[in-house]
Amino acid sequence: MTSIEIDLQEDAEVVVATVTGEIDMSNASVLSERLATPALNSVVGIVVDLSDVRYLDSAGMAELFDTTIAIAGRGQSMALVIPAESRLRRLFEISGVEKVAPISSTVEAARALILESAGP
Amino acid sequence: MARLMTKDAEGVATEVALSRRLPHGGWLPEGAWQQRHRGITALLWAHAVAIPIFALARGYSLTHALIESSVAPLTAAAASTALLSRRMRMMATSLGLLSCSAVLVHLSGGLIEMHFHFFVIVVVISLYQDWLPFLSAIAYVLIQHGIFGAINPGSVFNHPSAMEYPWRWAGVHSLFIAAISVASIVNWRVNERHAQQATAAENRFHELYDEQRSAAETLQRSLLPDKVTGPPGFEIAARYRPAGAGLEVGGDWYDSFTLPSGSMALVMGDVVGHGIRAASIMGQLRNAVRSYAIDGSDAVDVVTKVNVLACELDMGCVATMVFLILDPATGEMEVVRAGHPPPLVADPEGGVAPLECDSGLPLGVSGQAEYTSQRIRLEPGAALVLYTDGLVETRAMPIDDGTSRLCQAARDAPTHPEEMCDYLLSEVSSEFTADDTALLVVRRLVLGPALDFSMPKKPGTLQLLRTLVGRSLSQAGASEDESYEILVAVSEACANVIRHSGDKVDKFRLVIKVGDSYEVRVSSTGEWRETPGRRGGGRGLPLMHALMDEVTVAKGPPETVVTMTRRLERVGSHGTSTPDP
Repeated sequence: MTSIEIDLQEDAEVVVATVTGEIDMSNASVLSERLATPALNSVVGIVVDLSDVRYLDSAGMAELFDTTIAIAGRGQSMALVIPAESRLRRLFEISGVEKVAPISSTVEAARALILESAGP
Repeated sequence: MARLMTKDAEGVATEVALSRRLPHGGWLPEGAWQQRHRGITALLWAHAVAIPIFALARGYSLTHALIESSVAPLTAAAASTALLSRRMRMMATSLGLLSCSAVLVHLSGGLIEMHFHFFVIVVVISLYQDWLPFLSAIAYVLIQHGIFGAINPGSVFNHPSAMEYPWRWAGVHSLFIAAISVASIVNWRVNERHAQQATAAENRFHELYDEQRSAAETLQRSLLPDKVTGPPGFEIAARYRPAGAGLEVGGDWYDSFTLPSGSMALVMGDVVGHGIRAASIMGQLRNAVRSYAIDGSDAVDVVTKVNVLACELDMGCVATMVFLILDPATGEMEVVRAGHPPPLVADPEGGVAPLECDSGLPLGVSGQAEYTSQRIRLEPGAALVLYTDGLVETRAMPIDDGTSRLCQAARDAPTHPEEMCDYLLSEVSSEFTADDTALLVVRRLVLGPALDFSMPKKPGTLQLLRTLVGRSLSQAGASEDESYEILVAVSEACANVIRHSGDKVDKFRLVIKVGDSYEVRVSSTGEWRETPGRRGGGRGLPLMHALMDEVTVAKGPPETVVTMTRRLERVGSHGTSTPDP
């Protein structure tokens, strides 16, 4: 079975979700289950760190897309972390997920984007 | 006319009633008849010797003695002639012995005590349990007494009344003969009925025995998989052969099934015992193994749980088993033994040895039994042989000799599992095998870049598929960038089959050809249906188009085919293997 691990670190402003493993249609639903529910209303948004994801297919992207739309309804935003050299970058560009969830190279940059979008 | 028919019907009814009361006769089996006939013929030969001596003792001349006794050797000779029919030979002894009675009566001057000889002979003849010699005996006495009594009363009777009315006394003697006949018939009928009952009981026993055996075998076969198929990259073959004779069928089983994780579970087991009971216990254990394995337990867990269940079941017997989980992506196996003979590992270089791992206790011995597993990696080209003890243990051959014989046979065997199974069965097992035999061979294929697989339509197989395609791409010399992008496209195409082909479709086919371009064909039967759209879905096809040079989707029925090609530039960092033309 394709294996995935999601580690959640939460502070006062954002939740940082570190995802490792592979994501395909056999386990993609775990993404929305783990990302959408735990975020407290107090946090501004979620940073999803995909740096250690070896593989992610369209099912995974669909889950990220849906989760972004869902938490936007609660006034929260989502940002993705994908290193510039990662092959995932091209896939996200093709699929257009970056239009709803901005992509950064580092967790810090992603966190800054979320705080910025929340306004002063 | 109607009256006549009624009369006929009555006649038939009487005949039927009578035939039920009377013995049938003539049914003696050949062996029993031969034995009795030999005895009776010997008795006749004894008369051939005794009568002349008796005649001489009575003061007759030698010539007279020989002439009068000649009927005995003549009929005895006829009775001994195998060319004559059974009936004829019986008639020869019967008439011969009755004639001896008549001669003895004559030689004794009609001595009334000598008539007892007739009675004895009638009883002797009844040993044939046939009507013809029996009725002949009654007729013989009546006619012989009557005629000879009329011609020369002194040669038959020795009292005045009989001498005066020979036919009346012939009738009296016949009546007594008839009476002893009736007594013999009753005796004969009782014997005949008992013998027939015994035969019927024996036939019924054989029928029941055959029924039991065939029921056990049917049950057994119904519990074995119709066909074993290996995961992609592996070939599997299995055989089951019931024991040569007797009720010793049932109890051996093998099984192979895909786990939700995409791994393959293989089972070889043997319930100690035979018949329907063993086959039904085997069915319960087989289902228990499947349930626990599909539950996601590891191999040791599965065997431990099955053992606890086996102890709870109170089977009244024990079972042995080898259980293993095979990861088709890596060839790694976790093997657990529960008292079962160790699997053989045949390496690609031709070496064969039993797998070294703890034997473990058989299932159903102790609920506290602990099991350990052995991890091994099946290299490309290597094979694993699972078997039951029927293959290596016979009455004539201890298990160690059998195992080394099996190892030697596995070294000489053809590599393809189907052929290997047939070879091992023909070389190692013999018709003296008193136990049934099960055999399963799994071999890891040596794969080149070209692939042609049938995959179960389960999301869990996608990771295995990526491993295999990744290996193929590396062997095709694709750069790392090319590999990654093609891998995503192939995975997306396969995910589409899994998502959109109907419920009736349970597998799909993946064919990969490699030349200047990497060509992928993914197909399944039936028409793909659009599943209700979701907001974020529908990215698969655009990805495939973006990552491959050419993508076509031909929608069925009869089948739907996705074809994709991408020219390999083979620039950038490469995999380790060189392309295989």
